Amino acid sequence: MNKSDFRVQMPLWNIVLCMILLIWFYGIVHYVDLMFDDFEGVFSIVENEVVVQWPVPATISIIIGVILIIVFFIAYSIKIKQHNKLNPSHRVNGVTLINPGELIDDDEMLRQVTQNATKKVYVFFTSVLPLLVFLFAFPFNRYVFIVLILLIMVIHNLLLYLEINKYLDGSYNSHQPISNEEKKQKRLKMNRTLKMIISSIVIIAITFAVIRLIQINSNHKSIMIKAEQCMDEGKVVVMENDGFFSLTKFSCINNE
Amino acid sequence: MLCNRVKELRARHGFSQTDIAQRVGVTRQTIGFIEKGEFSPSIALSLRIAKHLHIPVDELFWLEGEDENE
Repeated sequence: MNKSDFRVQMPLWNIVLCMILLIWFYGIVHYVDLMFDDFEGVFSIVENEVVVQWPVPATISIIIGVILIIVFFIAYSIKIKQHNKLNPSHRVNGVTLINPGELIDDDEMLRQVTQNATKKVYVFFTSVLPLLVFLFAFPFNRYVFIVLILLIMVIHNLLLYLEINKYLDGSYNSHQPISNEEKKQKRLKMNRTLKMIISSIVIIAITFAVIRLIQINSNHKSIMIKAEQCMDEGKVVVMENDGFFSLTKFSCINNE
Repeated sequence: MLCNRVKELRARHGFSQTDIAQRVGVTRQTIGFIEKGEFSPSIALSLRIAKHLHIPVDELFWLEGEDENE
């Protein structure tokens, strides 16, 4: 087994796929939003002619995304065929949920390396998912959450790849701490990490709350100024609130 | 830490890491880690290695701090 083994490279392929999806989903999210808004702003009538104004970045991201996905899956299937031909005893299934190809268990040490790698991924998910759940409470654009989830997938694959790579480089250290002193040190280190994660969450929460309060305050001030102008012009002030997390929207309509 | 004589006996029998790895059914890297004492093989693997190097397993592997010939 060496670094050119397709099973070793699989996490890198997964990372590339995540990057492609990152590009593709930018356009997808934008177009889905447009669809639910009845393509407002896309079609307009100028001098009795329908003018279409496609959102350029979103359209480009969809086109590039589709091309990259097609190229990716062609290259991916070719690599799988080549690998399965050269390694009939370690065949890889392109689409599987039961035994992903990147989980290598050719011998007992590789099994241990894979177990340690998956343990690291587990610890990573345990730390990052509560943070993600917390972030879901905020009214960010859906694309932000897609980016975050794809980044988590990138890190997950990177952890797997780096661990297997250490084994192939000969720099893997499988020793577990055995003495009480080492266990104590490890526990202290974990407590420090946990404290750091909790304080990061608290800092992020406070930052978001402060930013939101500033936004609400400035929105309120600007609405007050606009409302006064509107009423001076004899028009009607309309204020709408789309939901708990959205700022109040202001519009000034003619009094007819 | 588990000490061993795998490297010495492998060389004496004229085996490369790849040769012995193929004979016992592991990868070359795993043999390298066993030789360096970085990985403690299972009893089954230790027995297989000992068999191919024509030596009793307790003469091939021993715990650090214990005499090899105890």
